[in-house]
Amino acid sequence: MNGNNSKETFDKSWLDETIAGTGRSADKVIPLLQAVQRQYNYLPGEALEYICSQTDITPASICGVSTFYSQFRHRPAGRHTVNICIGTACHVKGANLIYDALHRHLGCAGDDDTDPEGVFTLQKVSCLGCCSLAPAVQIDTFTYGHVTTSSAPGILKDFLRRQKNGEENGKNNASPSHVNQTNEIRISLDSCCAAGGNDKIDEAARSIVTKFNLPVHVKKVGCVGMCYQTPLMEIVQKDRESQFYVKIDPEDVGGIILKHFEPTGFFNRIHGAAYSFAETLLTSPSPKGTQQDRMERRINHKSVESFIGVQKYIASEHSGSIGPLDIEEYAKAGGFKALQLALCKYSPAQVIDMVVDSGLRGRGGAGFPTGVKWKLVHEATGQKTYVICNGDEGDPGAFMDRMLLESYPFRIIEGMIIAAYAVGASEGIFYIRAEYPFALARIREALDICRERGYIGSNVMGGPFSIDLRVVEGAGAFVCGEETALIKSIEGKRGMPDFKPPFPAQQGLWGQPTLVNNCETLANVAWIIRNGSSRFAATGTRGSAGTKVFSLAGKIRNTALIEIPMGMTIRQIIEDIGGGIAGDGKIKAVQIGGPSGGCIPARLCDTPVDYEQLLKHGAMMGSGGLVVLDETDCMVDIAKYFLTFTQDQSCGRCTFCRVGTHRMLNILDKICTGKGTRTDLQTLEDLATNIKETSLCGLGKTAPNPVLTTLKYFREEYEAHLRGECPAGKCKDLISYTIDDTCKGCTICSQICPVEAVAYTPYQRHTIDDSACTRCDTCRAGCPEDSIKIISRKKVEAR
Amino acid sequence: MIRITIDENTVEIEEGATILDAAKRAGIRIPTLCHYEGIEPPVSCFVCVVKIEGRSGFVPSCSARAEHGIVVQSQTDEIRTRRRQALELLLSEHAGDCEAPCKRICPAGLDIPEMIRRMESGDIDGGMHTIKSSIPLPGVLGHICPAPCEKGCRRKKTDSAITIRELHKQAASADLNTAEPWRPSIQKSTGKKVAVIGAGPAGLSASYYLACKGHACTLFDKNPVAGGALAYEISESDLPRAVLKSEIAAIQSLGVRFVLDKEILSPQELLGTYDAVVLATGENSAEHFGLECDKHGVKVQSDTSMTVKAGVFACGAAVLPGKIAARSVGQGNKTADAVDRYLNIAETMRPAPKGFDCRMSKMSDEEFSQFTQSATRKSSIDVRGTDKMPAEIISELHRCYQCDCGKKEACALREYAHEYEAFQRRFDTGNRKIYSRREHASGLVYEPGKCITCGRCAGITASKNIAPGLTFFGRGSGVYVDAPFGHPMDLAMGDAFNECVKACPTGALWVRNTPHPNGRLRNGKA
Repeated sequence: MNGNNSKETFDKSWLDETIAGTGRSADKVIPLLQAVQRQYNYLPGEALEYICSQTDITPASICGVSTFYSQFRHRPAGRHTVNICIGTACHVKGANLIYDALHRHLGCAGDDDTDPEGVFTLQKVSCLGCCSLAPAVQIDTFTYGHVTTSSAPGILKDFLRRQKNGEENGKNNASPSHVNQTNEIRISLDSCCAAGGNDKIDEAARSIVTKFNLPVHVKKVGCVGMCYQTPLMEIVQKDRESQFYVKIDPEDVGGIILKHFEPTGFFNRIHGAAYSFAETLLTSPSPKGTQQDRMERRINHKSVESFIGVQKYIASEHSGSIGPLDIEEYAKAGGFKALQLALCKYSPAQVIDMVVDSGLRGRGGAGFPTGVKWKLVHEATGQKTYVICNGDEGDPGAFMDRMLLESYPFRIIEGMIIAAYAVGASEGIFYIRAEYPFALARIREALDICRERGYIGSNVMGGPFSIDLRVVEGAGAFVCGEETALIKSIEGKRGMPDFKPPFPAQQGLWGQPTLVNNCETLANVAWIIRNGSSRFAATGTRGSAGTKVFSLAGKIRNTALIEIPMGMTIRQIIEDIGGGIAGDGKIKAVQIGGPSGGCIPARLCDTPVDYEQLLKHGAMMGSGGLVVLDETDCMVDIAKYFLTFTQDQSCGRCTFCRVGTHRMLNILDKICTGKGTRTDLQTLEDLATNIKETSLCGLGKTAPNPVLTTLKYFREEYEAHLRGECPAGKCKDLISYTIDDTCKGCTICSQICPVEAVAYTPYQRHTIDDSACTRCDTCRAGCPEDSIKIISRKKVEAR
Repeated sequence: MIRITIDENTVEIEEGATILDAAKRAGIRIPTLCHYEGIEPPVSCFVCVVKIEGRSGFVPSCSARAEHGIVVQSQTDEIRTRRRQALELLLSEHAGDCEAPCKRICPAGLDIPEMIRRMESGDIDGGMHTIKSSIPLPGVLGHICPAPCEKGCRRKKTDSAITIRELHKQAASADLNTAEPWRPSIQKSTGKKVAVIGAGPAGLSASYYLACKGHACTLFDKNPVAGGALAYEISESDLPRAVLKSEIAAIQSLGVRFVLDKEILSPQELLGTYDAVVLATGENSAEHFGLECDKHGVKVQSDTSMTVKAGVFACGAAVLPGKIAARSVGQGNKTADAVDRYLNIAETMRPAPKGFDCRMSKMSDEEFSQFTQSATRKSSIDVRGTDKMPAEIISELHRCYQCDCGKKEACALREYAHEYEAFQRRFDTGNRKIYSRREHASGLVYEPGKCITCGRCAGITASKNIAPGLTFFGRGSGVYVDAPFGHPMDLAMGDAFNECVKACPTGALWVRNTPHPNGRLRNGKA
């Protein structure tokens, strides 16, 4: 970065105002950088120098911090940012091919990420948390799901069209409604549901209800968990079983609603009947809109029982039925009762004992007993005590914290206040990653509401206890999920973990005792206080009490967000809740715990999910991503995928993680290109073991897990690569594309091939020029006859 | 006070101290590349790892607190392995050479860049010191050496190689013309006697270095004139005899006794009178001595030059035929070292410590062009001849790119790599950093490719509140150190300049003796 080279100017008065509004202390560096980035889409060097001249922030700090966090850009960007999600679920569904396709389509030169006209800037992001829509692409605030290499260019066009029409997306403000009606149309508007089409459903439902003045309230609710069924709405009628309508189109909405609710007033009734009739006429010829189809897409509670029945909702209690920001509804459903109990009935020590007795363990991954942590903080001495809610969920393939923050903000706030009371904290901070704008907005709004109602601030609920809660936005660093790095980030520093001890419990934020708990951990607290620790302890297994929220993604029929009692087996999760593997593939492995976890092979699927059992097999609970892999997934590629991620996210502090993971990745690259040797495999294993035993923080200590578990359970696949073969047909350097004799000569492949590797030969079997082919998979995905096959490259060379 | 055990030593130390502090107290040496008093612990290098008994994994002793009652291991094999691996990881991306290619090629191992630096600064004595540390016959070799060093010279790629041979020839002749030619310092007499047989280049060289080490040395030769092949096989026109004579006279003046015109047939017999014998009898002489031979000549242990007979050493063409005098000279030097160790260390004959030499893979074209730009010291140096050295020699000295590392003698990474027997290419993934040199007005050179991001320099400027100071940029494997907003690094370090350069454990930060001519001295500070 060289400030002298940038010619761009910046608006001084705007920056002065921003600085005045944000503050001048050294810890304000990240919020100020975020403001500049929002304004200019990048960080002009002169603006940064100006900030240093006006604040306590030093040049060393601003340069160090702004280059550490991946949210910040130092060169000008295009007008729109295209975020291509490369989270696990998206990766296994070909996200990199989507990136390549967009890169090619936009004509970006070489490694450049912006098209020559400066309209779009491409960016790979670790996880948008929309695993159910994989592969997902987000352009500014619009999210596109299930993108393919051939549909990718189209979404850019669609985006520009929407832009021109002035459409706005993502503004799903879930304003609370105090209308109290028994009839409800429940529509989830969490970020992935909205992106999955529920925003359009909501719009349609509202216009119908208003138009016909229907006696029903359209209610925005939190996550239902049935990601695989979106767009989805639930109709709740007084004295009747509620109905789920799944995978519906906006044009179906009117008809569905009018079947359940009668328009009020004579004219409306006539009008409504006519509308229904006309709708039927208009839509029935289209295969999507037929009555029969609609009937199929209506499911009732019985049929979702297998999905919901085996789950147990504690952290996500009242799943899909309460409005996220409706504080009265929350209170009616038992909300703040635990807080009241804690404040009025129990001493801090008693609250801690209850949490200890419940057996609750940290849901962030490592599983440290929560009550013990609280006790340590409670007993530590300092001038002030802090509580921090860790919402820096960065695992690719995991999105439960986002869901909890978006759907149950009050529950987490309540847990946070109780925790603060128990440990004696007077200030609390929600640290939430910037990639979750809706979660940030909801928590901010929920905090405002709570403040208004006296749940936070001085004298909570009229008692002597006071607590202040605020939100700090992360800036794009996975390692900040590690508690010491997270604290550094709040202090406005590079997010480099520190050696422990001292633990944050003794010396945390600003050197004071600090409690850091994960969102899901805090979401369990109120339930425990309300229902008693023994009831919580009775759920789950002996060492792992309670439930765990998982995001279920990958090659599975029902991509979903679930909460299950600990001890359920992986097989039960996949078969009973997930509906088994998608398509006719065979399950090969389950990746649990993201980049810190490991791959459990199909034969160990009867392993019950609890902390110790997973560790025993080399995996880890992690934060709860569960990605199902089938026979078309290459395990070496999966290991490489996770290592690419951790290597990229390493803070760069300690030798073993900074250089070691990089060297591991080099070796995996060698193996994936067929150049690996037996010595490489040995070096890889040695190095992995040493990194695990010697790294400074949790990121480094667990980074080798995906490699070690795949080496342990899928060694033969590594060995196949040494021979130059990729059994799953994934590693580009080891495969070739070929067209078999079922080819009808339809020329589609020839037309869609981006590099003209398929000759245009109508009515004749096509052939692929192997030397020109880039293995982008476009032809295979586009072939109507399934005539294009992936074969081992060695076979082609042998010919 | 708390008490901990390190490697079976009990140490008492204040509460809050680290294991490293405790080890220091107990006199146990734990290596570290990043720890530095007075700054926030960087906890970066992980060369200081130790094991606490009963706990899993390894911990950095610079940060792990000494807790009462813990038992620490700091020197076991598994710890050495971890330390070695940390060093090997650092070396796997280390972009830089310890030694210059010319030095590596020179069969006598002459430190050519160092010789040039000393001569360049007008220090003829210093230049002779460097030369004679490897070559006792610089004038002779200046005439006859085929100069393999020049084939390795990087300057060759730009225009032509430095005329290295000419430089040490000129230095030697300039030295001889002074009133008081350079003399090595001679160590105190050891009372040991060594016989050297054969007064050719190998024997002369061995005698020279044995004499320097304080051993009483007798040099035998069957011919009436000393010099071996130098005197008998090379023509006067190729090697003026006056040059040979004067350099032999210099060896004689160190106290070496020359016994000429005397053929020794059984070196073993000399062992009664002498504590060690060195055979330097030249090509095809081996069969006379009744020692075990291989197909080339006398068989010796490659690392000690000792024959099968204890106390009898052999070097030069007697071991391996060849016509390059520089090689014989180098072997004479190496053998003198081995004899010295043999005489001093009675029990076992240990092999000579092999210095660690980090080798950078080939420079890319971009790297080379950046390198030559930064290393070209031409424009503003005032090239004027002196009475000692003509102007053309001085401008030739200025042409040298100085390819060796500016901190090769003071590099802690190199020292530990040697100590822990690190293998530089353990992780040979062809993925080293880009090599580059950044020159500063003050003479500061920053070589980011050699930076191990230990954080000492940035930590020092931060602890002293120096603005703008140095900082880390980026993260992960892309992390690097620089000054903010493109400030020159030397200015950015302010008053901590000297401390930062000294604290840098590698050759990433160093200062040229002679400031870079493209800039000016900075406020007299350097």
